[in-house]
Amino acid sequence: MLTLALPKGRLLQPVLDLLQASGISLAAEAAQNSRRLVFADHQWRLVLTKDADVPAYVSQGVADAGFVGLDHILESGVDLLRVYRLPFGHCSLCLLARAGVPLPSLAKPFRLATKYPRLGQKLVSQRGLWAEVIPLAGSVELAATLELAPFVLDLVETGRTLRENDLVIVERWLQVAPYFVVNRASWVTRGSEVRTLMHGLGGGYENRAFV
Amino acid sequence: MTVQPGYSVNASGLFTAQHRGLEWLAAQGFTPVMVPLVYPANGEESVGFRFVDWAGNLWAVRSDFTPLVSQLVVRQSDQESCLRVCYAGEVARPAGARLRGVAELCQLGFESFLGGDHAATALRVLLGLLRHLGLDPSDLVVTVTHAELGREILTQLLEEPPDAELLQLMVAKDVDALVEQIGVRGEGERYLRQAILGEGEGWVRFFAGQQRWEQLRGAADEVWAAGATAQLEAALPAVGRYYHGVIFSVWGRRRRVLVASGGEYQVPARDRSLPGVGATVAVEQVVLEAQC
Repeated sequence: MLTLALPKGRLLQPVLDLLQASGISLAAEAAQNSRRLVFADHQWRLVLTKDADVPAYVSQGVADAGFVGLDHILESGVDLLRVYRLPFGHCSLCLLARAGVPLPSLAKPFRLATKYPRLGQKLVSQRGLWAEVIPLAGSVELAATLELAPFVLDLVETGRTLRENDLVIVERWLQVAPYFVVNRASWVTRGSEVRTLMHGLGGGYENRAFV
Repeated sequence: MTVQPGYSVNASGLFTAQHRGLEWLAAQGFTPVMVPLVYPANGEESVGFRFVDWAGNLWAVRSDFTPLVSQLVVRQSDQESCLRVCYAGEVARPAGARLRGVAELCQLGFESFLGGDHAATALRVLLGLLRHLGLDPSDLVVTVTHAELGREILTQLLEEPPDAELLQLMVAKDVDALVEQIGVRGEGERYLRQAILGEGEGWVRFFAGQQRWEQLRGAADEVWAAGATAQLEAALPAVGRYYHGVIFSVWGRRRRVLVASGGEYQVPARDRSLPGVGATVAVEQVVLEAQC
């Protein structure tokens, strides 16, 4: 039995659709039941967790594999195999601010509110900038609107939330996509089952045309 | 029978396994050296190991077994013939090692210095040791690579040395991002994807030279001969910087854990570079795997 960790957030429905399309009928049951967190049959166990918790469940070996965005993978800092980048849910991690706020400078530290304190600090450092990172649990656009921090770092997909909160994109810092991730030990010791699933999802060598 | 805090198995089981392992290694020609306990060497960042001889003389304190043992051996002996030592004891790491945050507190290891032995030899000894400790080789998978192979593959594709970020993508098997960043197409992309996803072995011949292929093949053949399963990898994570040759990790199928790892290395010692090969067993994981 392979255990898969699924994110309960906005990725859940497309991931369940993908699993159903690859022949995992248990995904249909999970799609119909909004309260249960664990679904199992003779071949699969699906575990629904918070998006940010998927890396922990997979890296610790509780789940053999899972589905999670690159933002949460990099924020967690754990060792995960990102063997297949899914073809949906792509977005950007952007530096945001209210219109008219001056750009951050190399000379002066700035305050940055984000749900990704570890990743945010790393991206700030990579740019030679200096920031006081303020960790928040959600609705980070509010931090800029209420001037908790002049800048926020958050995902932007359509830009609708930005427009509604009068924010602008200062810079795109990271392209983010959801991944099919695998525990390193499961990749080695249960390689055949994991690879079969990966191919069924559309990933791997066999699903590629090389030109 | 007592339970030692921090371990998942009882202490007597661990010590019995250590003792049996040392006896077996001694019978294979490895001289036991004493490698005791954690030593908080120099502030919070330095969690190291204290190495003493049988007379209780402190030889050195370091944060990693392998370079230390090799330098100790050179300091102790001027002979040029192959030296083989083994050790067991408790260690500590500043962070979890390699898998599941396991610190691998209780270790058993062996090293061979000054030439003569290679990764294939170490794998033969290691798999024999694991069998002696109760693991069935058919339940073991051994991943084998060369410390430079990932860098060599990317250098071939880029026509210049890769940066750390690209190497990290390779270790994470993020093949889609890697292909995109390198911009490789056609045959190069096909073999790169095979290499990273471990599909077939054609990629080894495509990227590695004949010598590299023979090194990897020799190590893999030793694994198969012992009854375990060998997998060739393009890159493995978090290996010591002193590794320069064939490196390997041994995984238990039953509990899906890393039970041992090792490889060929070069460490500076006095005025020269010292060749060595060795492996370390996570004793607690072996005991649990054998009980499973």
